[in-house]
Amino acid sequence: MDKLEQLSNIKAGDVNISKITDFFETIKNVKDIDTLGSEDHIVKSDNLREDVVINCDPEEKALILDNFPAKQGTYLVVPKVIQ
Amino acid sequence: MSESIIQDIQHKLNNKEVSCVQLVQEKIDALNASTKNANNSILAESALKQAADFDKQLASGKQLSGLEGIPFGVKDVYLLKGTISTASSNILKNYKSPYTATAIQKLIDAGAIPVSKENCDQFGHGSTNENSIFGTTKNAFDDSKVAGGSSGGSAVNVAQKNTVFSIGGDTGGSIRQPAGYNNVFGFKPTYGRVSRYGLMAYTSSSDCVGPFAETVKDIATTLNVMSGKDGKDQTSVESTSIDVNAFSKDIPAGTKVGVYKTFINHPSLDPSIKKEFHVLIEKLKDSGVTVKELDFFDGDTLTATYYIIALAETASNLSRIDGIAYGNRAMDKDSLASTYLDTRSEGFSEESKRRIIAGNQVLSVGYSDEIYKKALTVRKGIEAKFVKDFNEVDFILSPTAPSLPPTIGQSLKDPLNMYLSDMYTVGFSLGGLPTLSAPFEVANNVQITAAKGKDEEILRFAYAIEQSL
Repeated sequence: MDKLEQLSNIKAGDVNISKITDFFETIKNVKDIDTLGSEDHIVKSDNLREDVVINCDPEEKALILDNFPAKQGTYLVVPKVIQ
Repeated sequence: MSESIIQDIQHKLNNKEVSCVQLVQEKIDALNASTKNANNSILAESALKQAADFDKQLASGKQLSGLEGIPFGVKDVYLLKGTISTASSNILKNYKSPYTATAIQKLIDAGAIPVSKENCDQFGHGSTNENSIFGTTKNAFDDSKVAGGSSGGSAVNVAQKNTVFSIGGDTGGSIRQPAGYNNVFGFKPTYGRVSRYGLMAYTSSSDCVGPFAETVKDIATTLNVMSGKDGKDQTSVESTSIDVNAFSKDIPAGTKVGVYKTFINHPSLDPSIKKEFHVLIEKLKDSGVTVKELDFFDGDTLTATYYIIALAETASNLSRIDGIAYGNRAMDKDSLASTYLDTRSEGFSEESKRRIIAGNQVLSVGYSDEIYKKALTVRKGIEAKFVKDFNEVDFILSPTAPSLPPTIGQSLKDPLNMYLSDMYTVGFSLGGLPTLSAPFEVANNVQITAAKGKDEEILRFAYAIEQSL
């Protein structure tokens, strides 16, 4: 569980995942899958937009800044990365 | 029953039987007075301002059309610029949308007025609407029962006529099942027909935007507005507009319907639902429809396949929510790592944590080949089976849920049972197929599914049933 907590960045505490991981056994036991004729339902597009920076409007910018969880004056505060 | 509530309301607005401000105020009063816990926030100020603008246009002699002046609800997983968009979660409970989702913007551009951000299961994680920091949404008809989920608030608002239509999100049945529990229409379009841009992602390969409404025509009208290719969603596709005026009251001759034996004979199917489903099938046969029984994957396999893929995708999608650039951050921690850990542990509910942790297990070494890739292969098999089936029949009919809405609190004690209650909806999600949940004959609605891109055919068929049965 420690490794999964690390991967998830979550303390599991009382969270019980065994109910959901029961599905793993079900999928392992599925046999004889006929995939002939399947159609991928997700359209793959190479019609991509130009890779250019598009400035957002001032109102959008203000809302993005307003959402930042910690500020000091005009500085945006982030947690300490280097100890 | 009217054929279109939207048209009826616009008729009243254009004839000055009611003003748009009066109409919107009535809806806001009803939303405020509702005891169903269906709304996370009510958008009174902006809605009344928009309504006043329409009244000015009416006073100058303009006739409203399209969706002009129509109040609607938005599941609280869609961004709507300037409003708080919480996904019913603690971690985003103060998050202000910096922009508006494409589908919602198209509705606003067509004149519809958003009046509510609606309660739902946190990030779509649930089938009962009990996984919300705003509390459980109660069923429209019975306060002791759940509304269903994850789009429970949207279904209840339409059932209570507090919104004319509402926009939900459907990943594994989150529109169709609450539509069933509250007896309104709920439509999951073909995957890609409506842009997902601005919808908080749960399972990107299955997430769909769709409407709840009281009539088939209103489903078609709102779907037409939202549909179309969007440069901001690479999986979105072009589609042709549905001609609502060409709907016929007659079921087309030669219509063929398929019924999955594994669904109807599943031991967990409530006998009353089974009986009502058979009554509907018999009525369709009497109307000239040919019915064919088909084999299909069993419910356990469908549920397992769906959940394994959904867990993997939601673990990836929600990894971006860490309290650094937005969201409620755990403050004054020693390090970046402990900030992440505490922010996410405090911010996500037990059910969301379960899905994220299990999703990371699915994707980790030792599981990704045996579990995740196997689930993707089974999904291919399901898609292949649908292609074969829709060479034989035009539509597949099935129940929406195996049992009646559970009592509030019951599913929290037994999440596995909640997951298995999705067995009739998840297969069609994995196939990306269009499916309508319709209040025809069966207590929890019936699902009508067609091949990819056949959204219009479903709505035409449903309209004929709506008018003839």
